[in-house]
Amino acid sequence: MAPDSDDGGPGSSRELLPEVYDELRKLARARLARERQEQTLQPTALVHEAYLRVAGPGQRAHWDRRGHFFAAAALAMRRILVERARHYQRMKHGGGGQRVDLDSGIAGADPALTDLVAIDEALTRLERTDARKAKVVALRYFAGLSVEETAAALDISPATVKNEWKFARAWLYRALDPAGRAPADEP
Amino acid sequence: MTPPTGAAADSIFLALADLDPADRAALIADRCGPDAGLRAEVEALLATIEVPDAFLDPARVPSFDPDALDGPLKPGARLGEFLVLHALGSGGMGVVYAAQQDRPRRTVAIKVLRRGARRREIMKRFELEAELLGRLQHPGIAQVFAFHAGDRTAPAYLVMELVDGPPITEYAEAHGLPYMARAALAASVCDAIQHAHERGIVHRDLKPANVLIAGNGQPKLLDFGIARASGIDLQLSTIQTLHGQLVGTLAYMSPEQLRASPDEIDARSDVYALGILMYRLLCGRLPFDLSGVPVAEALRRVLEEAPTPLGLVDADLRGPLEQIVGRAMARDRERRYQSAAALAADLRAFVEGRTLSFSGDFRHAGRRQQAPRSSTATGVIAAAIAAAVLFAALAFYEHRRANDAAVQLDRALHGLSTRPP
Repeated sequence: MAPDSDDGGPGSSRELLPEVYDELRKLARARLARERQEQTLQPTALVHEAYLRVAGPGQRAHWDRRGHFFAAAALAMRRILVERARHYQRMKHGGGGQRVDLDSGIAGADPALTDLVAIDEALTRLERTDARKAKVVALRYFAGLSVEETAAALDISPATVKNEWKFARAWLYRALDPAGRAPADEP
Repeated sequence: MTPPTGAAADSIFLALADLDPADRAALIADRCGPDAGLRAEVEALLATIEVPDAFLDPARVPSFDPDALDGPLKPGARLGEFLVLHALGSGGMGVVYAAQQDRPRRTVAIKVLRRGARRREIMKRFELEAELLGRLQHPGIAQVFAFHAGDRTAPAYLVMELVDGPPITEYAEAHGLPYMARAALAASVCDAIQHAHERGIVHRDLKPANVLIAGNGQPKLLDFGIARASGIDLQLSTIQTLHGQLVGTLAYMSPEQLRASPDEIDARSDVYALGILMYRLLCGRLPFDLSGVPVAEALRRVLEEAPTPLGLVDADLRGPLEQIVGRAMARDRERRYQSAAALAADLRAFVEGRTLSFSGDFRHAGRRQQAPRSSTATGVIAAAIAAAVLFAALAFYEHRRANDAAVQLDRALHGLSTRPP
């Protein structure tokens, strides 16, 4: 997993990570307790709901903390999803005996899942070359922030976010598939 | 996995992002200097900057089940009185682990059920079924030992007999079994199914993955009644079927299951699945070619088309075996064997060289199935297609990922004929 490029100081996203992780976990449990008609949880929706709970109405204006929160949430979500994708990859190749529909249950369940590992690896490379673009991607993709929210979180202009996002996506797209077609994101 | 362009072009490309379009040319000129090749590379990168909207679309981040927050159970984890040894596999319903029970000391399989929608409803049904399933005691059935409903601290899980062995189709291939032996194996699968049927339990999800052959050559059926407890065979209209079991099961589902007619599903639905299973066991392929077809078309083929008679796939199978299999998988359940025991009896009659229970000519029956479709058949197909459409609509509504799902279903269906489902 990529190192968090955050400085790790007080209030930083790295310091927030356990708290955010815990919040996401509690929230997922709460959702289930309510027995909503959901098979699975949509990561970005979960992140936003977690933020509203953590921040509370009075703290919405604390952009610093908000930025750190979402950076931590993006990191937590990325870890959760990539860990799961790796686990499923192992299961698909290993296992035996009482296996259960390996193909339909795993590959079938989430076509995009296997690509997460590749996206994670490419994003790690982008982090080394251009840390800010990698942050934009993490916030947009893993935390589901809009261009404006990403701009506020990183304290840069929305126009910059748009440009960074555009170039980073193109870079990642090629990194994932030199032939010019990303494996599972074909519409 | 490195980008196909040089690192220099790459870094110039990334640096261009922060510049006004007007200033980009200057930066390119400055950084590339007289290197025309590098300049061409950078320009090629800029020319292909547009990528499909779906790529890295936050709305398409894979959803996850909340158990992922805890991660899979690691070896050494405890679940009540069970010690997790290792994971065996994962499926639509959850992850299966090999585990050690304290008392009695034995190795068991534990199926940890996925949390999620309709959990309470499913738990309730599992609790009802578990007691019933616990009463199934037959050497051909993987026994269900216990069911633990989940609570705040532990997920729900089913404790079952651990079966170590390959699916029946793989076993037969690996051992190069002759037809006689395959027929005899199918007959003992029928015995186990008959045992359950006599106790009012229909399997509903028979397929090679659920029929394993243990070390002593004994077939063991997995997941008896699980299909009903989880409702998977009556949810053509839900995302769960699309994402999970339906895909691997479609080829083995009886017409009445495909039509999602709960009142019509009975022991004869299992007889149908046995027919398909035997077909595949005997000739290595499925009777209907569902490779790469959309779900509505797959349903239409199963409900409407005549399967390729076994004898046409392999001339050695002409005669009694072809007739037995054809009768088991008759579309009209009244024309099938009316019980697994009747099917077993004919299989054994064949193995022992005796006459079959019927004198019908399967090829004649096959031709009748090809007769112009009746209005009933057309209605059935229309209903099935409507179900598929409804299901797609719900899938889209619930998950906003219908595209992924449909693409995946196509892929999975494509896989049906090329590898053991």
